[in-house]
Amino acid sequence: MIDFEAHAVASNPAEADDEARLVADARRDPRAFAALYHQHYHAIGRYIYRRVGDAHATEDLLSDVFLTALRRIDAYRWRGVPFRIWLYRIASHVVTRRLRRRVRVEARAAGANAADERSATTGPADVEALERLQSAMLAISPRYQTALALHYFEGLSIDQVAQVLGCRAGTVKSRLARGRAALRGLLGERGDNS
Amino acid sequence: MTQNVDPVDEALHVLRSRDWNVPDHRARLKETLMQEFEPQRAASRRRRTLIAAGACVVALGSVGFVAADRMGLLPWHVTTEVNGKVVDQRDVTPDENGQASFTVDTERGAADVIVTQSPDGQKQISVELSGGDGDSATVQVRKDE
Repeated sequence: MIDFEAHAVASNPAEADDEARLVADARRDPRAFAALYHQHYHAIGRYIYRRVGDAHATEDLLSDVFLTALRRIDAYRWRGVPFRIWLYRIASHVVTRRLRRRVRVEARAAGANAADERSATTGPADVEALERLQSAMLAISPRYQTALALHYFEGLSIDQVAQVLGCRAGTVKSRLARGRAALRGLLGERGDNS
Repeated sequence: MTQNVDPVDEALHVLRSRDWNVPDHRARLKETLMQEFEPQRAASRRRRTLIAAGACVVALGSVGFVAADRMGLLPWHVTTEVNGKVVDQRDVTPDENGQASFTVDTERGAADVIVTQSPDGQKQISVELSGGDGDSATVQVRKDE
């Protein structure tokens, strides 16, 4: 059993109390759940999008995350760990499951992302470079991707990433180092050195 | 002055700069969640009762073991039973720390299973049952060789 109390992260006590009350209310009051949804929707959606790089897949996965949160909110125990950390955990599981079928995601990304990313300020070369980077990220182990995304994309500390993943801080550091090494190898192979 | 930029940092920075915002989806998903709220909460109340009264058994079969400080740990075959009914079977490969985790979704609720093998070869299995009162659930561990 993971003991969140052993990994409690210091947070604003007043905000933490407010969140604990809101989560308790959300178990029976849809308006409270809606408030949590609005608070965390964009951050979790952005995290998923940065992981999978596909807008359509992001919508599907984000729906899975919040439906799962709704179904399992009784299991969430507020012990000084922000609700968003729990949502990141659900999102990471959901994304990892999808990435195991990532052939489908990559095929859609090749077409969809070109349309998603192209804009007045983004030329075709930029889109191509972005797709190469995304492809490299998707090519490394999902557990390394998760650690890298949580730490570098979402700005979570090592301890917070450990809370999300349910592992020790040393494991997180190891996955970050190995993820970076794997990414470096792929970027070097593909000539993305700038 | 020449700056040597780590290509990995640069790549992560580029990927991080991507943003996503679909207002239409936010509104649609909220509507779905509100429609699902009462049915899901009712189902959750039923699951709490069933899980609290039931037993979850995790059987662990080991097809081989390699020292935890070497890569290439062999998979474990894990069978999960709830009230005598097999609800999940899978092979899981422990990571470099001798740990593997997965989630089993059943009609009675979701169970987060974490299997850890310590360097001395002892296997510890913890099961976190969501949607229920974990304190009142009974967990039995059986190891098959």
